[in-house]
Amino acid sequence: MSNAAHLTNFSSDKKAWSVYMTIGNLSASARMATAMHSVLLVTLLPIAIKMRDIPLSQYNEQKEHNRMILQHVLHHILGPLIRADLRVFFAWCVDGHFRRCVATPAAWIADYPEHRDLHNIKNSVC
Amino acid sequence: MCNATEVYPQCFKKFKMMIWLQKHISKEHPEYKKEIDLKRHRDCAEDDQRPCKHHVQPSYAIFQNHDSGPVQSVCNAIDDAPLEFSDCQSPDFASTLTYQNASLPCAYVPQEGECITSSDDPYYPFANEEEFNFAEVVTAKGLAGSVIEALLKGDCSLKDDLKHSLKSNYHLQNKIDQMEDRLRVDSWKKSRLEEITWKEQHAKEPIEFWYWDIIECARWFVWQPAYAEHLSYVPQQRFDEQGRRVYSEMHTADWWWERQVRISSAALQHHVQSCLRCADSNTDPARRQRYRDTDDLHVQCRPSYEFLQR
Repeated sequence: MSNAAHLTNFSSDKKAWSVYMTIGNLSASARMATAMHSVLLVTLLPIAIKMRDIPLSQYNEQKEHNRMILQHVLHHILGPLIRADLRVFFAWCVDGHFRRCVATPAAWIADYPEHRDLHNIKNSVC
Repeated sequence: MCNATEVYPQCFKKFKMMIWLQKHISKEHPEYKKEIDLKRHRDCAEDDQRPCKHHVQPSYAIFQNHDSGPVQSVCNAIDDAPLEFSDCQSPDFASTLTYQNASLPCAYVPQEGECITSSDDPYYPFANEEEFNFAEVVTAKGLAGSVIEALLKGDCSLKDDLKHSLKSNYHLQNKIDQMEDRLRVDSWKKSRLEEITWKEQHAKEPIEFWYWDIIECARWFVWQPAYAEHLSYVPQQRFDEQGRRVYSEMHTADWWWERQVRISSAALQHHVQSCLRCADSNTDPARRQRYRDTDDLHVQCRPSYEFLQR
């Protein structure tokens, strides 16, 4: 899950872009209960520089560059999920046994503009 | 609107959703849990007449199964996966088809430093249950440090043992910090992007970010005792009395089942073992990386125990 959050208008418009994760093994009621704390903050993505100082000729290029940086960061964080030697692991479960687990990304919950940026696709294509 | 009086005559609460009523009954009047389960099952049967998208219950939907029969259709789909057809595990569902060989505990010996050994004492690092409960209450209620200090040092009719053991707010916080948790504050990792900046003139400001290892997060979830009742490891297919498929949790959907079938296939596993061994033994780093970075599921899936233990 990820969503950019506007924090304040003061101190030059602070933003935070948090990425959260949870697992599908948890039942839906436990996952949705706030008291269970079943969603973990994985990272805070770096916020891009302001676009107001960018000359118009470089605007699109800079936007593309910002998007690529996000791709780099996400690749660094989600990398273990696509590496065959890391995504298969032995986990110590609550019942005291070890189980072999395979971590697989199942869903990415985000707004449309963020999906667009993360998948690096053109605006209003799909 | 669901009235609690229909289940428990002395409770006059009303709820918008059946699931809230169910939660209330199971929490406040656990002896009537069976009645509420039966009622929910009955209501679901009545709701079958409506189209699926008009179902009023959240996170619960029943879809028509167009196949000839649940067991046949599944057995045709996968020949190598042994199945178990169990009777009436939950009052909500008439039958449940469980993927039998999934989620078996395995004899894995953790490497040194990999596994945190849990103490036999459940109240560690606190001396006894009283201390643990005291720490739990003051933490959960968010008492100020000065109040805790006054409680421990003043005359508040606390037991002397507890006062002497916990001493002060500082010592109490130290003990709370010692409590076992894999994802501690100091497990955040810091990373920076090399040779890439926001703009050319920002060369002196590298892009840095903090993160948690996502696999460690997943380990933490399956290790947490608080989630013990809510975790499920095995994909299932649930059916109601008419033989129609019932979808509720994620492990009852097709996605998980299909994934399990793919990674459980014996032939595929053999292929993967040979692929990974080949990748591991190959000295060409580019080729090894290509094997590891591939997102093809056939190569992603699990290697053997020996491979992982090496």
